[in-house]
Amino acid sequence: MDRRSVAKTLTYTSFFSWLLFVGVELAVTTSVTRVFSPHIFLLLFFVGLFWWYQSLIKKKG
Amino acid sequence: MTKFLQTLIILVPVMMLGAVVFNYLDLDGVKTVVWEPGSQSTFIHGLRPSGRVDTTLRVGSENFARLYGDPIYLSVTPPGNYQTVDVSMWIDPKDQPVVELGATVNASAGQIDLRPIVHQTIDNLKWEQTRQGDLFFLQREHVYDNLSAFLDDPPSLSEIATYHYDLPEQDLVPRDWLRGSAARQSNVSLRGFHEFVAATDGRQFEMEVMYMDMNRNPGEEPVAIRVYQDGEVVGEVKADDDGDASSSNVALERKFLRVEAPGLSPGLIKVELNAGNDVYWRVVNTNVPKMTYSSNVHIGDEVGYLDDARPVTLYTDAQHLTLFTRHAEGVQTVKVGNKEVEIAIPHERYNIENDSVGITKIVIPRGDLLVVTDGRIAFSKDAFFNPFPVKLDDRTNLDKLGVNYVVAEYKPTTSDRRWEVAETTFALANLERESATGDPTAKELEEGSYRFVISLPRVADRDASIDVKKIEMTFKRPERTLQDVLKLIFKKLE
Repeated sequence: MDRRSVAKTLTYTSFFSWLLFVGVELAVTTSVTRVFSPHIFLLLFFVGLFWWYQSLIKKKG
Repeated sequence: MTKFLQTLIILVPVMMLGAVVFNYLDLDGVKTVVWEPGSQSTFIHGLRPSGRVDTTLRVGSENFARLYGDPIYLSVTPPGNYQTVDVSMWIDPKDQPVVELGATVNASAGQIDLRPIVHQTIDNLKWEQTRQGDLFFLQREHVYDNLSAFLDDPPSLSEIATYHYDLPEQDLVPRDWLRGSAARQSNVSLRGFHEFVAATDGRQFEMEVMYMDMNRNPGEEPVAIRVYQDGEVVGEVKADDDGDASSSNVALERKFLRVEAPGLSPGLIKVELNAGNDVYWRVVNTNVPKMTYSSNVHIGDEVGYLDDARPVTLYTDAQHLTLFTRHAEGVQTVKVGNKEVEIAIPHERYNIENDSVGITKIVIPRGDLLVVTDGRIAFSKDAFFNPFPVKLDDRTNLDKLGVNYVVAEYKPTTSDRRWEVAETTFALANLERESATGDPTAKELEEGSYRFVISLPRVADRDASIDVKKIEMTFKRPERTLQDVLKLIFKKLE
């Protein structure tokens, strides 16, 4: 498995998903938060970012 | 494997977006939201003010809130556009006799659509009961087979108590209400807004008043007198301010108004003397024999009209009264029936429970007093009449009043272990929506929250409280299909 590519996908997807769901929530209040909290994608973004960073370090090492 | 994981990662938010859209569309038209103490709800924003509610209580594994003030507010953001909301409340009323739930219809007018939640007096009555739709009919002993038979041939009004129900008006006006000489009232000065009811056999109603604008406060004081029958205005007269909008403390002149209401049908009429607190109604003369004021009267002072204060006598059938004065000149001893009540401190409220039943005479030696009652008031015994049944509230003593029949629009609660579950429904189109900003736009109002009110009459006076475990609100609208949704979208895009 190419960890770097998966981490990169996770990072980008999470970031844009977070933007999307926060935007939807601002436009139509409670439409997203009645189902889940959009900030879970922010958490996944940082997880992805950390994973991506780890994969870069390991590659260099 | 890499491609698979990447695809999965991209698919997850796409599916979640689909879930959000599907949830938002709510195709079956039913959405339930729940509030429980200790949890955050997206739609129900908690019970306020915090000084009247304790939301941190727990017994075993159950969290609950204790409400010990009145009223308690609840803001609710609806989860979309719905037509009705069914509200269910899990409560333990304990020693609070009456609990009601209201929704704001017009905040600036103080209009609230109040619904019964719990009425322990009705719940605890061991009388014969019948139900007819939402109506609950109870009788002490079996006299009528059902509510319809009761309404066809009702007993005297003093034997009937109602709760959230208006008895249909009878076609025939009782002769007692039409007997006697015309009611003339010149022995008291009434201050500000008042309303009274009178009875007519169909003849034209006529009234003459003399009033004075005492200019105690800055601002204009226009005056209007309106006569209503069956909710419609049947007579009206207006007058502008006297031209002095300052707080000069001087009345420029005595003013006279006459109102006529022709074309009446036999029955009750309601008359509104509509004016601010600077206006003193000194003389009210009518051509009908009976006139009683609803619940509260503000007896004004005689400064600027007479040389000295004068005693005022009134007659009431109230069981509970509150007396207070706003001025040092209003300090006096008031006689309520056989009791003497010392009004010793201005702005202090003096609560009196009437030991007797029927009409009680009250003598106010110096006037200048606010009289708040749960009954009706007249300024002469001959003019007194009560054309309404007893209102069943949290203090009504049915045995003392000799009430033998109760008609209530009331759905008794069901039990869920130690909790009583009360249900009621509101039509959302009638309710006002509030905005967080002070000057909302039309769009903000359209998207604002509904404001609900939990009413616990006199809960603090009796040092009582109620417990609330859960509030569930089920919003409803007609079902819709995906086709309907697409039509809505196209309509919005146009």
